Amino acid sequence: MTENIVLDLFCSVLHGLEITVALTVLGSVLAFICAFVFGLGRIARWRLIRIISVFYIEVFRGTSVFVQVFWLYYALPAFGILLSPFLSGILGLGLNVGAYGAEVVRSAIQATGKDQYESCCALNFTRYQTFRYIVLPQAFPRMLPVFGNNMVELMKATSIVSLISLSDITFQAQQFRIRTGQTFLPFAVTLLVYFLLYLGILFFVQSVTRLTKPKSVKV
Amino acid sequence: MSKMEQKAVSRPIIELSNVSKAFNGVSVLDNLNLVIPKGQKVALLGPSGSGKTTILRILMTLETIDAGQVRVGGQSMYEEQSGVPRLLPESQLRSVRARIGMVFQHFGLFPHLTVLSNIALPQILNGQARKAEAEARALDLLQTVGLADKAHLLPDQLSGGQKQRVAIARALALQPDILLFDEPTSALDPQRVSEVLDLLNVIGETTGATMLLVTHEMEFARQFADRVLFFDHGQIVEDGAPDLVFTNPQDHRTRAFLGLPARGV
Amino acid sequence: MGSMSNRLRKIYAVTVLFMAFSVGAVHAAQAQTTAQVPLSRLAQLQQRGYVRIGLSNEPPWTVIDADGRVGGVGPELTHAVFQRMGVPEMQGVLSTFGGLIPGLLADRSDAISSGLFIQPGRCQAVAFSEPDLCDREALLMLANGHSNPRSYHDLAKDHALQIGVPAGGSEEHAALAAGVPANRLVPISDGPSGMIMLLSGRIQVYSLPASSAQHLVDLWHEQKLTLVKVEDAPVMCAGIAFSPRAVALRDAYDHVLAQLKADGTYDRILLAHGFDPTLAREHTRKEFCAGKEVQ
Repeated sequence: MTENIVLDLFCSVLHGLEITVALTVLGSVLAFICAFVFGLGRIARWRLIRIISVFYIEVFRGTSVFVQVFWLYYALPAFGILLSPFLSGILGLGLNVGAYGAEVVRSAIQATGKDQYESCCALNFTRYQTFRYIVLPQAFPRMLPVFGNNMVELMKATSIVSLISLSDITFQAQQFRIRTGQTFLPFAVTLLVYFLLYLGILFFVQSVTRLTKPKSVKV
Repeated sequence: MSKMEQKAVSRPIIELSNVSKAFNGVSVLDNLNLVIPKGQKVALLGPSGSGKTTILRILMTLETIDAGQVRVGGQSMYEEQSGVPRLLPESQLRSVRARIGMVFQHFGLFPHLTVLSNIALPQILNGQARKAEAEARALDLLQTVGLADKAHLLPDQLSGGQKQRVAIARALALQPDILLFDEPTSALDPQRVSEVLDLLNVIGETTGATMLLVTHEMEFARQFADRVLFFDHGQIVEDGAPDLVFTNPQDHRTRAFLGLPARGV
Repeated sequence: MGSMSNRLRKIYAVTVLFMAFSVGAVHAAQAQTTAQVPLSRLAQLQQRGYVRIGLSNEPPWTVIDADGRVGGVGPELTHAVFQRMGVPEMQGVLSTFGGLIPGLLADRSDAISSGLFIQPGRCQAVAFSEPDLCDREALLMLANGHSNPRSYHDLAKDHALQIGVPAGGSEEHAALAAGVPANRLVPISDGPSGMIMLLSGRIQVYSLPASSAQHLVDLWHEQKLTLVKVEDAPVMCAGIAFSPRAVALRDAYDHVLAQLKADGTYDRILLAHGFDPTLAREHTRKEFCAGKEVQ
C-alpha cells in the first residue's frame, strides 16, 4: 500500500514536472522575445509602434495572468481561435511576463549614460552600431538579475495552467491528494521540486551573467 | 608667406556664420561669426557659460543651432527650411562627422570594452580597418600615449589621466582633420593634468590637425595655441595671437578675466 | 461533485462567472453565423468516433488515476450512453471544477460528466440531461464530538460549531436557510483539505454529499468518524451538461438514458459504485431547474 502510494506520487510528479519545465522554458523564451520587441518598441522613434508597445505592456501588466490564460483558452474559441492548452499556457505566461520584461529592457537601455551616446556620435557610429556595440552590451547585464526574478515568477505562475486542463506539478499533487487523502507527502515533494527548479534558474542566470561580464585580460 | 600657406588661409576648414543658440530662452551664442583656417590651433577661453563648449558641441552635431550656418571643409551642415536652419539628414552628416574627432571632459570611454577595443572598434565600425589592423594601430597609438601596457585592462582600472589619454588615442585613431578638446583636464586630479597637456603638445606638433581647445589652463593655452579666442556672454570679445591677447587685451572683460588692471581710466 | 464544487474558491468563482458570461455573450452573437452547419452534432460525434467529456477529479463521482485514466460512476454511465448512441470512444478533458462550464462553452468539451448538480443558475448557462446521479447531504464529524447534530437546524442552534461547506456549493444555501449565521460557515476547497480542518479542530462539522463523505471516511479509515445523513435537506441530483446550442444532442442523450434506466444497465452501473439507482427516478430536470429543491 505504502509503496503503491510512493510510486503513484513519483509518477504524478514526473508527469507534472514535464509540463512545468516545458512551460517555464518555452514561456521564458517567449517572454524574452516579447521583452525585447516591446521594450524597444516602447522607445522607438515611430509613434504607432510606441503606442502599440505601451498598450501591450500596460494591458498585460494591469490584468492578472490568471484571467489572461483563461481568455486565451476559454474566450478565444468564441472568435474562432482554438489554441491547444499547452500553447495557451505558453502564450499566457510568456506574454504576461514579457510585459514586465519589456519595462526592464526599456529602463536598462535608458540607464545608458548620455556620455556614451555622445562618444558614439563623436566616433561617427550609426544608430544601429551605437545600439548594437555600445548600448546593448552595457544594458544587457543590467537586465539579467531582473530577468532572473521574472523567470522565477513565471515558473511559480505555471501552477495556474491547471485551470486549462494542463497537469502541471501543482495540479498533479492536488489530484494525488484527492485520490489518496495524503497531504503532507505531495506538498513536501512539490515544495522541494519547485525549490530545485528555482535553484536551476538561479544557476542559469548566474552563468549567463558571468558570460556577459566585461573581461579584462591580464598581460 | 609661401603660396601653400596663403592657400590654406584662404580656405577655412571651419566657418560659423551668424550662429545663434539659446537654451530655454537663455542666449548662449549670439550672432557669432568665426572662421578657422586649416591646421590652426585655437584656444577658446572665457568664463563658464560663455558659449565656448557649445561651439565644440555644435561642430560635433551634439547641439543644433537656432539661426545661422555652419560649414566644415566647405560643406554646409544645415539647410534652410522656412527660415529655420535644420541639420542635414543623418546620412549626409556622417561625411562631416568623419572629419571631426572629439575628446570630452569626462572621457566617455566604453566601460564594457578593453582599452584596446575602445580604440580598435571605432576604426572597424567606420570601415577604416579590419580587426587585426585596427588593433595593431590601436597598440601603436597606446605606445604614443604611453599606455601600451594597459591595452587589455578595462577603463575602470585606469586613473583619470590615463583614461583621458586613451580617449585621445581613440579620437586620433580615426585620423580626423579636426580635433575638438572640451576641457580635457578639468575632471582630473591636479597632479594628473600635466600628463594630458604634455600629450596635447605632442599631438599639436605631430598631426597637423586643426585643433580647438576649450580650457581653463591659461598658461598652457598661451604656449600651445596659435590663436586665442575670449568668450563672454556668447560673443567673441578678443581674438588674436596668444602673446598679444594675454599681455595686452583690448576688451575690459578680457582684462577682468585675466586679472589685469582696467586700462587708462 | 455537483453543487459541491470541490475545488472552487470564491475569487475563482467570480472570475469564472465573468468569463463564462463574456464567452456566452460572444457565443450568442456567433450562433447565427454558425447556423448553417450541415451535420447534426450527434452525426459529427459519430463520424469522429469519440466524445470529449469535461470532468474534474471528484471521487467517487469521477476518479482520475495517476496516468490520467478516467473512471468513476459518472463517466462510466456517460460512456455507456454514448456507446449506445453510436459514439464508441470517450476522451476525458481534465480541468478544475471551475473550468468545466467555461470549457464546455468554449467547445473544449462536448459534454460535462463530473457530478454537476442541476441548479437553476446552471440551467441558465448549460443544457442539462435528466437527472442521473442523486445524493443526500451528509454531516461528517469526529466520533468523540460533544455535540451530535442531525440536521442544519441543529447546526443553527449550537453556536460553538464551525461548519465546513464546499466553496460555492448548495450546502451553504441550505445551512443559511436553516438559520446558520454566515460567519460560522467555512468554505472548503477540496475533500482532503476539509478532512485536515476537521481533524485539526478548525471546523467541527463538514457538510457535503453523502457519497463524497463516505469516500473520505474510507480514506481516513483509521480515524473514528461519524457520518450523518442530513434530515432536513433535499436530495440533489446531477446531470450531464451540454452546450445550450446542443439541445438536440441533449435530447438524444436523454432518450438513450431512459432506455438504460429501463433495461437495467443504469442500475447495474450505479450499484457497482454504491449509488442508489432509485433516487433519480423520483426527480426531473424541470423541478431542479425551477429551484424547488434548493429552497
